Amino acid sequence: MIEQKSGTTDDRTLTLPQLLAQQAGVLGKDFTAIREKAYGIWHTFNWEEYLRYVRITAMGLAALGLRRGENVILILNNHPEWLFTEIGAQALGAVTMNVFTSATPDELQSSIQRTQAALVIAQDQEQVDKLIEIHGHISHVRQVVYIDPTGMRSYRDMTWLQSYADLLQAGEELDRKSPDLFEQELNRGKSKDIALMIQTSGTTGMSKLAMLSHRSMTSIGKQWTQAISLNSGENWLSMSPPAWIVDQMWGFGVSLYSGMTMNFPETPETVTEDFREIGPSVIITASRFWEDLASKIRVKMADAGWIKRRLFHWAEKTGRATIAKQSVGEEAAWHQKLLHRFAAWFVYEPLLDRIGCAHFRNAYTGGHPISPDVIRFFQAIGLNLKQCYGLTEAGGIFQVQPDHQVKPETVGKPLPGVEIMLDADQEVMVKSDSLFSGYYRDFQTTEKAFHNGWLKTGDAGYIDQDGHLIIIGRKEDIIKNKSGQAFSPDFIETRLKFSPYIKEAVTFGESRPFITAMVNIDMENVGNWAEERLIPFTTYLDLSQQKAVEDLIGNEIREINKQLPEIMKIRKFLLLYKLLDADDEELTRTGKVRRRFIYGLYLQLIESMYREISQVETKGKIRYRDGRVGEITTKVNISTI
Amino acid sequence: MKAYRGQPEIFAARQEKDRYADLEIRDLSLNFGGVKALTNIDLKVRNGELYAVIGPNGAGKTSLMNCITGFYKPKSGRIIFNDRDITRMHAHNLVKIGIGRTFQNIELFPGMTVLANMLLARHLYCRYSFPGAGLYLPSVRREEVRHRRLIEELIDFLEIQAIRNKNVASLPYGLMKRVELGRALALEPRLLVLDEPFAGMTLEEKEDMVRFITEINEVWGQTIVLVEHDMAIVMSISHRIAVLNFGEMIAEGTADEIGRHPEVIRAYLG
Repeated sequence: MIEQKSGTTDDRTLTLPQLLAQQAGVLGKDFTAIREKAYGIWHTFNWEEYLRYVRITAMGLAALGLRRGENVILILNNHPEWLFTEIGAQALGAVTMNVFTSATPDELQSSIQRTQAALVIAQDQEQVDKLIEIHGHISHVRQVVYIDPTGMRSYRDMTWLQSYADLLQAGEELDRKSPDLFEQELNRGKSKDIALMIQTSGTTGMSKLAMLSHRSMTSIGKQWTQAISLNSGENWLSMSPPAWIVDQMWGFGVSLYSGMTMNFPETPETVTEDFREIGPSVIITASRFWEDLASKIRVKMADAGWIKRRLFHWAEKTGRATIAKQSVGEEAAWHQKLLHRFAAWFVYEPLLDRIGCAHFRNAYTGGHPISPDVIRFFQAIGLNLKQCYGLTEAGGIFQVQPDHQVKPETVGKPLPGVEIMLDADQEVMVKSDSLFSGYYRDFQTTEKAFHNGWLKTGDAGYIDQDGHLIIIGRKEDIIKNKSGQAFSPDFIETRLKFSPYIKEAVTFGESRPFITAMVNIDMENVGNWAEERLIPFTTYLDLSQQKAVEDLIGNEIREINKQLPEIMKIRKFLLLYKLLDADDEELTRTGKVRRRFIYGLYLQLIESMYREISQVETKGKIRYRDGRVGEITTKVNISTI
Repeated sequence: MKAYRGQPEIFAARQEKDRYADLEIRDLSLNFGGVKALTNIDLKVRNGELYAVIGPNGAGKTSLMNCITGFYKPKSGRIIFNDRDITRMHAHNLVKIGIGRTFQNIELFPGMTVLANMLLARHLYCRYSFPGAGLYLPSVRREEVRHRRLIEELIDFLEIQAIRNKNVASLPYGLMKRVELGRALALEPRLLVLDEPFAGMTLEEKEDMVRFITEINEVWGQTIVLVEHDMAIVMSISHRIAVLNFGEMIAEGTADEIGRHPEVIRAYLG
């Protein structure tokens, strides 16, 4: 492993661009800062080149008249240009905010208007088209810079648009004319200044814009670098959207602080392949990623030949037995260790290599709570998957499970320099240097987020005897049934989703006598299952309403009920005729269920689960693949467990 | 300092003179036994044009394309490509003078990967000798790198990075069509002949294909002859259109002219 070679002073007095300049001086040409796959080959940028690109980009933005304190919106995918433009804008003292590339024109308009952005950096034609659509409403945007010129030929006459290539050219010219300008602007930055804003996913109501200072980002960078001793040249694969806190925290905080290499996959579809080529040592990704991966492995294994299937089952069992021993702090017997070793040779290692996960030192899952069973599954096959917990407002992820403390239900302990505390309502509160500076132009909400300098997370939890934090769920999501017993819908839903046949589930039961669930089947897996049994089907709607599928899901739920406490057992369920979709506002862009919204939308269906009927006719909106919206009338079956 | 994304170097750097294509068909007729497949066809495709041939089933569209690309030999008439009579030339020689095509029923090598299928088209441009390749001389290496880079530029353009190393046989139909277009482009043809590139595609796949074809034509100046069923697409992207019916050309002109042409309306509507 390569020695850490970062600055000796407290790097947290620097802004992010200043930190980059310092690292470029120390790591220079010897270390790779950025690696990107393009045209089938990995292209590299060392730290000097990284700084050079940022410098020229900043000068190009200055040529467009970007001033200190102005806001810049970025609608970008994971590519080096994201880092160049974002740090470039920050070098001039501008504040950046990323928006999801999947945002609708309306969502874009709202983000751009709220920030009164002066410039927008857009990935490609798709994003530019959306901006042109809302041009009339965002006249404060002086210029749109697009990265990818593909298909942009017919837009050449629009002076509102400029290509990144032209921006770089203008930047080089300005840099030649005033060679000191970049340093002047760079040195004017203070670490307490706001560096960037992040739109928090609003599961309830409108999203909020959390402002994070340079110091927040460098602090979280320091916390991580120390906690898992990261070194220059170690690899991170950037794959979660830049609009999400995780890659912001890593791309700016951690990689700048530790000197880690940021790797960018060729396209979102090639991630698995690129994974294998890079062999990243750390990964933090949404629980959904791991849930999908687990169910994919299981389905593939179910399709495999008899020998492979038997071998896999034996290996998984051996792994689980070993993990179970470890988690209670016992040493496994010698023969069990030997079996485990064999299982690793013949099954785990080839399997992990196959899915590109063979080099992880640390793998984390965050975002939505994950089913403990998924964690046990991965640990059983030898992948060191741990839970972590964080919050945009806290500057990112601050709570992780330490190595060798395998406890699937917890989210571990705070990073060094972070303190946590519970208030009387069991709400988790956190204090550290990386906390955010407040919500953009929203003093009241900012006030409410803090309590004596502690940040209120909004999550309810408790701390176990080993000092690990356990999150029960969102504080406002803890629901009481008719007889006043508390339950957490999240808790039930994550367990439901571990079934390979269940894609999404929403549970109900507030002030009701029992709990019911609305289920989305997993089209791919249930489709394969139906094909094997020669059950004909056409669309999702058709497949989801088949009796055989209903029985299949019924059995899955019965199995899951066995693991749930009495009051959380599901009594009735229905299979929804459409997939819950972020485009229909049923999910947030990070894939969380918007419970209240769904409750309103499907009230009739939910009500009927509490009546003595087995079928209900309903009208619903359905969005076709070409974007048209139609209305359908369909009968939905209600099953009793 | 360069922003390299979306800026293919090799393919875009082709000289105007290497792209030049001018096709003329004079009084062309083709018979199968007693059946007249094509009767006295006259048409001209100019350099840089996107020229479409439409017509009902069995109108002779594919037969015409097969004549141009050397798969059928016409009974009478002449085909002139860049001032050269190509009427009797064989398909493999036509490729050498710059006519590339895709097929209505995909003709890829199903047992090979996407990359291998596309690289195969570069065989045409391989200059090195057999012993040279065996020794893998530096010059051979340089040439191979250049071929691979061009293929990668096309893969990037067609957005098929994720299937680069997949076997063609395992791909869905829409993607196979895309790969076939990629292979035809890898020939760096002067004239690109596309036989029903939109057939059997979903709406989304069609939109992508339209994007690729117009981009090739507009940005890279690729001359294209296109046979297609889908009137709406043809009308929206073609510069000029020829309409065939029972082997005869009943109209030729811009989309507007064709849309108003009484014989076309008769042939299509009853």
